[in-house]
Amino acid sequence: MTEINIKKIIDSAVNGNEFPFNRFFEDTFKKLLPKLTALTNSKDDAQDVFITSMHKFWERFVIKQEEPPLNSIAYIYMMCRNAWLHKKRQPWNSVILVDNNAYSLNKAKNDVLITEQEKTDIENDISLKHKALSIAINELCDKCKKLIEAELDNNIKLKDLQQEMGYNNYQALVQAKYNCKKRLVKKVTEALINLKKNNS
Amino acid sequence: MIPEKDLDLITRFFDLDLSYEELKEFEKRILLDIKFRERCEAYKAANDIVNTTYPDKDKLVRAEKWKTLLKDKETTIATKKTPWKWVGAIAAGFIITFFIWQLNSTFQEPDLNKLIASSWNKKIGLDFNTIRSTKKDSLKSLVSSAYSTYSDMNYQSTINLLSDYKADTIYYEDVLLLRALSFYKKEDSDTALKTLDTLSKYHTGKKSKVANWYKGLIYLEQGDIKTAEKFIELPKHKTKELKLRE
Repeated sequence: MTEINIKKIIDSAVNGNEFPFNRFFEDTFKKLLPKLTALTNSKDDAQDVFITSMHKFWERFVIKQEEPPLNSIAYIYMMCRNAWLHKKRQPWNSVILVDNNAYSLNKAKNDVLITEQEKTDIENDISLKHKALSIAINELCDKCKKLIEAELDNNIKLKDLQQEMGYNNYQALVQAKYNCKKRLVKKVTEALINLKKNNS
Repeated sequence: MIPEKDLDLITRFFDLDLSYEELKEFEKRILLDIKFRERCEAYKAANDIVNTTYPDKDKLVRAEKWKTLLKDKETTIATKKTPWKWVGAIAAGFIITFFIWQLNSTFQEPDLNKLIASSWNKKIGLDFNTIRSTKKDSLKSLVSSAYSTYSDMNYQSTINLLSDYKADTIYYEDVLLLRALSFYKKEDSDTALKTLDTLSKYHTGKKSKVANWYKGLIYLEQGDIKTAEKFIELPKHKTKELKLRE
């Protein structure tokens, strides 16, 4: 896949024609399948990580319209490796090192039942996350809030909002929505850390 | 406040943007740096709650489409190929109705996508099962090999195999078709359409309808519905299929 070809494919997608991108999707999967199966030892997992990676690829190069990589196939494979790590290894859930001693954070496999305390902790955790979300969404500007909340209203079509909100084209609106969501995630992260600090 | 550098690294981790070396460093840091791990956990929790509360509808639709594409690919490889008989299909006497649609017409994009994808999957004209390679006929063997490389998506190999095939030789119609479709799959739609044009006007008339069918599909995929409709007919109802224009 030459640089010019991937640019053409991405431009088509940006302009609303997803067919070349779909073909690129199929061709790339076929090319990477042997490597991905070797990485994950499972065709289903290979498919899973590939789709996850292609979503991220779409976000970066079609929505955000960043400069595409020189070797898109190699880049996608790198993303798949990242995705596989996320899926299976979850490093922060496994082990911590304290004074060079390793402590496993995973519960033993035979501890199936959760205690009442654990139930309460889980509920508190959920409540804290929703509180953080509520704080963060109110810190967003009105435009961002409207873009994000429009997704929840089945009566609102994003394409109709484009002119109303002053975007040159639909793609600009999609990009703005993406940036707003990223901003929201960062704000929720900060709010969550602050709430946990205050609770401890 | 999370340091900007950490936030950037964590964001890139969740965007699957770390190189192999960066990933190794990231993992080490997660294990050793409790504060950093807590920041990662907070970002993950934030990401999850935002995407659960405000799901991206376009992304969900695209995910389903992609899963279907991969499933269809598996099914096509696994099932036995049935040669398509144009004469039989036309003789079946489908009722052909005609409708002109604008690009933002009543056809919802997912329906058009599905129609086009299923039309390509029919592999009309690619009845290479009827061409059996024999030791006595090297040309048949060559064309059969070209069909195989095309099916395996090695389009450049198909083009290379058939590059010296002489015009007016037996099976030349198959050669033109395979060349055209291979060029299209390699994003060279101009050459593909020119080759299909040659095939549609070829004096034997074999596969001229097939050539028109693919011309229609290519124009449709490119969004040029007006030109596509010179060759194929868009169905009035969503449940019907694309048909060759007679």
